[in-house]
Amino acid sequence: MRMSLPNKLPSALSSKKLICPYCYEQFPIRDILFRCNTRTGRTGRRCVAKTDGILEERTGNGRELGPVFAADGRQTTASCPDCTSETRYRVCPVCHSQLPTQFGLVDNLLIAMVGSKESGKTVYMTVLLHEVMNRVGARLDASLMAGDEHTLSRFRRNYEDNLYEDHRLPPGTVSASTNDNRVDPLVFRLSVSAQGPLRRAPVHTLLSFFDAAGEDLTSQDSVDLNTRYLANADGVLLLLDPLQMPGARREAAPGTRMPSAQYDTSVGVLTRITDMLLSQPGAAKKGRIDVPVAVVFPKMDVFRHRLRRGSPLTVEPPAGEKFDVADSLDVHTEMTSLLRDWDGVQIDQLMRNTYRRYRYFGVSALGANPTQNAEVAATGIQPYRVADPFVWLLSEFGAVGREGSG
Amino acid sequence: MTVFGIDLGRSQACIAWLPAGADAPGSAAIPPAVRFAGPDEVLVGEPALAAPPGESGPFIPSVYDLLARSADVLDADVQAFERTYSPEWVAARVLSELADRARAATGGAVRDVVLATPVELGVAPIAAQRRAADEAGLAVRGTVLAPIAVCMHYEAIGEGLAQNLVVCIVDAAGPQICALRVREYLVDVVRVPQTAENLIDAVRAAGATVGGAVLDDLDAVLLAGADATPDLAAQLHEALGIPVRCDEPAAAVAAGAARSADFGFLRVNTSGTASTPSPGPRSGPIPGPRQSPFATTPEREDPEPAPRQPQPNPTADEHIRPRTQPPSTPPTSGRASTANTNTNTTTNATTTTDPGPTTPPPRTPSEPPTGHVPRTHAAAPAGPDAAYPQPVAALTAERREDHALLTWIWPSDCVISVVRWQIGSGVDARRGETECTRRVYEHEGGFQLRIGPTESLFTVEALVPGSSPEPGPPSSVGLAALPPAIRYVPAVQGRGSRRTGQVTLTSDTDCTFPAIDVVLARGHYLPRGAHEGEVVYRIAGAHLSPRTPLTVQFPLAGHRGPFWLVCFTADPAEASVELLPESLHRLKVG
Repeated sequence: MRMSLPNKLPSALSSKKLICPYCYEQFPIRDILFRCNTRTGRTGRRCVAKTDGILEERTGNGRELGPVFAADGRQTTASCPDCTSETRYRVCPVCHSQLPTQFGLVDNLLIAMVGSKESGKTVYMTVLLHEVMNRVGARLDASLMAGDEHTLSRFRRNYEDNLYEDHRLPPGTVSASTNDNRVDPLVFRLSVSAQGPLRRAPVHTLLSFFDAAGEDLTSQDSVDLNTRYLANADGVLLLLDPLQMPGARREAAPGTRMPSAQYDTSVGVLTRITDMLLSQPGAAKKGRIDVPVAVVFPKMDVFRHRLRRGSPLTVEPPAGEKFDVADSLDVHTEMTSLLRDWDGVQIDQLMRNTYRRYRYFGVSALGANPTQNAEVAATGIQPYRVADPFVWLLSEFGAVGREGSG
Repeated sequence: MTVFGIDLGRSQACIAWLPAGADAPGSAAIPPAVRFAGPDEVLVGEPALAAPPGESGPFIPSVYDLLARSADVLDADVQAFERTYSPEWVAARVLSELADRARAATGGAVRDVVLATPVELGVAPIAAQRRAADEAGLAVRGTVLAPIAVCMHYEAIGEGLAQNLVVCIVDAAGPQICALRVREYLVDVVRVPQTAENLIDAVRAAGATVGGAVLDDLDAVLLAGADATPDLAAQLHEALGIPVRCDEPAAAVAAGAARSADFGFLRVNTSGTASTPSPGPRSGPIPGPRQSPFATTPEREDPEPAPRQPQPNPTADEHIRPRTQPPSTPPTSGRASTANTNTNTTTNATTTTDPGPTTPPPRTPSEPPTGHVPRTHAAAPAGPDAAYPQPVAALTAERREDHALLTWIWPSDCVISVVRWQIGSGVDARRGETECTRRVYEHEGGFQLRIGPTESLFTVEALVPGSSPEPGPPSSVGLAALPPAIRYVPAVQGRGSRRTGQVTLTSDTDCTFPAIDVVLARGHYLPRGAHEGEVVYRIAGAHLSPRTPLTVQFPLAGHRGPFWLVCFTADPAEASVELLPESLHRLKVG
């Protein structure tokens, strides 16, 4: 049986404010615009494709496209007032990006990923998405697909192929300040098979990953460039590089590829992000920020020799269908202990006193130290616990079930 | 547990064992003959030979021949006194007699055996031998080629050994001669056809197949069999001018089979064709990084008992023959399973592979391989796509609790590697092998195997298309065993003055633990040692049985939570067992 989208969105969603997964601007659903598909309409007229000035300015996309027109944004289709052609192309009223097919129909989660320069955000995001598309997806009975053609081609070309085919580390992320204050989120659709009252059914979630350049977090001014993205994010993946913590650098394995001398301290990045989040109206409840923050400590492979037997970071992680609460709390406890050893008590104190929902994670995206030539180790990529933070965030949103208890 | 080696030969059946602390093996031998003397009377061994034919029933002079024939004819059953006996049942009488004699000599049970099998014996007769052993109530732990067993008897295979040998098994049925080229864990076995007029010429011809035309390339001749004598050894030595070993020759095959149970990996090529002459033997230790924690063990096709059907004899050992890579490799699971127990550790081991100075130089593409036939999935001839086993670089094993993660560098164009493992050692060792495709390796992030707490040894070789048909030794890496671990879970019960603490200890192994301090600490951070808290209870050292929890309770009146309850050994230097929390976050209680 073929399923088709309902012609009108559920009433519960119609009054909800939505956030564009590309520009992170808020708007009511009825403001969603439509783009003509430039096919010949019933009247025999046909719109001419031309460059969309707003789209080009906001995203850099200068392709010739059909004209944008206003209609009832609560509908999934609309007729072009010029050519009468019926279109399903819905676009953001602010940036004119084409919205994913199920935007407004399904949960829309915006996940911002921030971290200091050279903390490995892009590598982490690439491996994370690759894992969720493959191994972790199979484990969770979930599928992750690109939400649009642009994300599909860009993720393959700029991220996945670089790392998995050419075995090269991706170049640094372009700063918003040098890119006309633009960032370019990757939008995916996550479908998780969940047990309903009668049967298992897929639950869809739109995910928008925004990879902030490390340079954009080096000062309060540059952090403000990303304010909109961070402030509207439903969850934050915060990467704090242990190798940018003086206490941890001493304990890294010999031969570890260290960040360059201009690295920023992890506590400095955390402080600026926290200040920005606290400044948002309604961000904090009872004095603490309510947005769930997964504090991810990458590159844990270089500390493996220092971990004692019994550490949850020396074992094969659980591979169940759900988020394992007890295992995650064990890792959190271990990372708290390591923070103390790494002179990171300040980070822990700040997190404990400022954030209501946070969890520490130790991961390794590559599993081994890359070469000095910025290439993946010759033995390949061996991710370790790389999806744990993401699955925790999904469990916080209710998109993935939990098992066990603390 | 003693493992016995059995040589069910054509003219002699022998059982041998290695007595603890003794240099020489113990053994017992009988003729492999069976005579049906009456409806309920079967004579075995010497009595079977000695009994007058008279009116007795069938006489089987050699159960070896009976089993071998059973593979070729549909009805090899023995009819005696209106009853039908299977060949396996008949052979089991000989094996039972051998076991009885070994039992009488050692005073212990005889159960685990390794069967030595001649090179020319096919899969079906070997399977029949195994069924016969089952019938006799013996547990077959493996089979080993007779010439390999002879080498093990003379300790001619092992780490750092590279030599060219001729094994000569002499018995009433005539000499069986094999040429062997030993390169540490890689052994080429070539059975030499008996075309020479005398034994000396036959050995000389055999030597030429492995050492070239010049006998200087032959290192030694190893004698075995009931008819091998010191006089024969002296004659050979005088004629050939090379060392000839002849120690306990009658029991050499069986003793070597018994010895093989404690060996680790060994790759044996029995392709049946003459090996390529080597660039020259190099006796003595070979320098190289491969330091195996285990001795080697023979590994060849080890047929399980199978239905009796005529089967063609195998022409080569499947383990070592290279193969043609399929056009598209279907994904197979890179995760192999094996028995396990729970433990964890962070022990890692890394090794790099050096094929060593004994590896012959690569062939040119135009030079046809003579020593190894490329293995194909569909009996295709060796072509340019033929893939040959080669060592891999940077093989690393990382312990992740009870799992091992293997990583290595894949040669370009290689899409299949063969991974072999031995988990544990001795008679309890578990061995296995699987093919790991590159796609699965990259998808899974390495090759993972559940190994439990025991020591483990892995070898990996890549099947490289168009590479030299001369296989190098497989790369190997080992992981040490973990010390015993005691896991503990703290808890608190009650309130106020009736509050009590509780610690439950469990272990997967039988162990004795030292005195343990239960430390109470406050604060946000997990205490690193007893000095960061207060010792609230000392658990006296005691014995802990596997999977039998031991729970101790102690008063905690006046302590208000939450706080950490952590266990440390009272003597920090004590390292006989490791104390591991069952769950880190559950150490905070109250």
